[in-house]
Amino acid sequence: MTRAERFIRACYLGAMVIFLLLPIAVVVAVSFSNTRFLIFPPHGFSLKWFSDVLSSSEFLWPLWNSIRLALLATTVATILVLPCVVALVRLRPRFTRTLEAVILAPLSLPTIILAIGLLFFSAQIALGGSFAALVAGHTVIVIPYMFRTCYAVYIDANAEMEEAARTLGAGPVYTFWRISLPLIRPGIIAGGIFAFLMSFNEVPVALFLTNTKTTTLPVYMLSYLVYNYDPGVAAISTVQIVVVIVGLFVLDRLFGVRRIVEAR
Amino acid sequence: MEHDGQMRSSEVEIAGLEKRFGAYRAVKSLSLSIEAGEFLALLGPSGCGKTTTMRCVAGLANPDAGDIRIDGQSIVDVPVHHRRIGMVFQSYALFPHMSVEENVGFGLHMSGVRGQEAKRRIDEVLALVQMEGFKDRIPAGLSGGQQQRVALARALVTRPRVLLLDEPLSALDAKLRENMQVELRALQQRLGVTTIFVTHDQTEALSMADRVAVMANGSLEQVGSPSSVYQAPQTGFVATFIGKMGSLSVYIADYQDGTTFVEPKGTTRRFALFGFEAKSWVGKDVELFIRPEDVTITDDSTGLEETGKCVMEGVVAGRSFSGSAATYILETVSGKVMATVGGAERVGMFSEGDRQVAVWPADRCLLCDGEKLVTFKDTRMERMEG
Repeated sequence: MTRAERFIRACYLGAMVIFLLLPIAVVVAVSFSNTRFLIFPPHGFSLKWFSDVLSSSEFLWPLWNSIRLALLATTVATILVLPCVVALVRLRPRFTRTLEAVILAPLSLPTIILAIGLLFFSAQIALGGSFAALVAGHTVIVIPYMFRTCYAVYIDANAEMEEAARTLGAGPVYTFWRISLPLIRPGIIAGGIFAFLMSFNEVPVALFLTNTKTTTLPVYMLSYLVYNYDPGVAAISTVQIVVVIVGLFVLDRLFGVRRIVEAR
Repeated sequence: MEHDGQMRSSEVEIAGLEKRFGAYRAVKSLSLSIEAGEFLALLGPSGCGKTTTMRCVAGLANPDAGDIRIDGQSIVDVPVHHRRIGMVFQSYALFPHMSVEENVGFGLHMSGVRGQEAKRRIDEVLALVQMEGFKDRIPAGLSGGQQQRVALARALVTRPRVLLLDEPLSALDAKLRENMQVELRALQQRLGVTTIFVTHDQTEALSMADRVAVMANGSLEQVGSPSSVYQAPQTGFVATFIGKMGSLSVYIADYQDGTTFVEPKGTTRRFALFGFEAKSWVGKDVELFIRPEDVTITDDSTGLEETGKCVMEGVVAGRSFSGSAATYILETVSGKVMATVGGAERVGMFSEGDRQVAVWPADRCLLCDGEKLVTFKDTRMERMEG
């Protein structure tokens, strides 16, 4: 590696540390302070804020809502995406390009517009303010992530494997279940991680479609910050980070996430 | 693999098979019968429709017209998974997330064979392909040849009515491929299973099959034993596609009493081809084909022409050595003639740039107008009687 290359790499890593990791470190550090306000550098050390946020349902309920919502949206998206992917890859219908564009459209649409639309629409179909409307909104948002990874994996999969299963006596449904699905699985896992994280962090749609009962963690934190400026927010943020890291760790143990993501 | 070690073999009949992809006719009204227990090779260049034909038999493609019958029963409306066929794919298509045992057992499971009986049959078929010790292995950990054997075992274990092989050896290296050709042929003979083998490799088709069906542009060109398609081609395509062939541009100068007189372009020579019925071609330019093994190279051609031989001089333009023999390419003014020279002492006796003379018997020539072929027919008897 030349000196110039080393320098560029150092700059790149430096920028990553300063803009990505450092802010997180600040939040985590502040969450352990014993002051009543968000101050950096933090003063003292206590677990007071953790016991505060984890003992009242004030934060726990939105956290649970967020997890529930992300899991549901990811699941529904998977169920919707899989038939699309199989149809587009294996049947190559005439409007494949157009269909792909439609499925990926939520990526290029500001979610705030989607949120406003959903707000009126869900009221019209008597789902206003319901958790179901929220799940629907988030499903739309995460579908492109699920679609892209599954599509990428499946388009590389050998169609002869499915044909082999058919010649060996397996019907179309069994072939999908036993052969196609395992072939797409890396895409589902990678897409699922992206989808879960997108939903878990999502604010605009949740802001419009939640009420006090269905509020999600990011929305609750936002409104909490308007009136409070204490390290409780930092503590729940730290909890959130831990939830994500533990989740990824478990998935890695189960499926080898690193391998899956690198393979793409 | 039944008790007598033979499979119950079925006959296959393809009648007027037609398959289009949009406006493109991949298979054109193809009819072909395969006898019970026969090993038939579907041979042709890529894009000739041989794979499409096989996929129609498998049920992986739907014919636009025509019928396919197994043991007299039409199967065109039977879905793939009820056809009871076995297929080996070019990519082997082993299931990557299953062990060798699970791969082979897949078809048994689908046909309701479970437990001890399934185990016994898996062991039996793995022994047949010499893969006994690999039951718990994952396909990714196997070599190409081993994957090939597992794919074969997987296709055979269900005792299919017909075994379909789609270029199964093309991914193997030369040495392994030769071994597998011999093994596959022996296995097929032992089991007696009706087999259709798709390949673009003529050596493979000729060495393995009972009969070879040569295809071009979606149609059958010729069906026959390996020796007949080689020695008695019926179309220009078969003549040039199977084996090596020298070719000269010639002019059909005259025809008299069962003898066609041809003149190689750019020369003053005239070959008298007795027994060649090419009266309608007089005045036309056609191709003259000759097999390398019929041609000898000499430097003294005096008097040979009078003995009913064809003689052409040319320059040695290249050679390929195959151990027991060498094939020389002789560049003449009318085209290229190849000559195979056997015997170790004769190999290497000519070198590039040498002026030599090629000589071959007139009755070994083939005349072709691009489509039709005129070959030697012994007409002396008919003439005397007539």
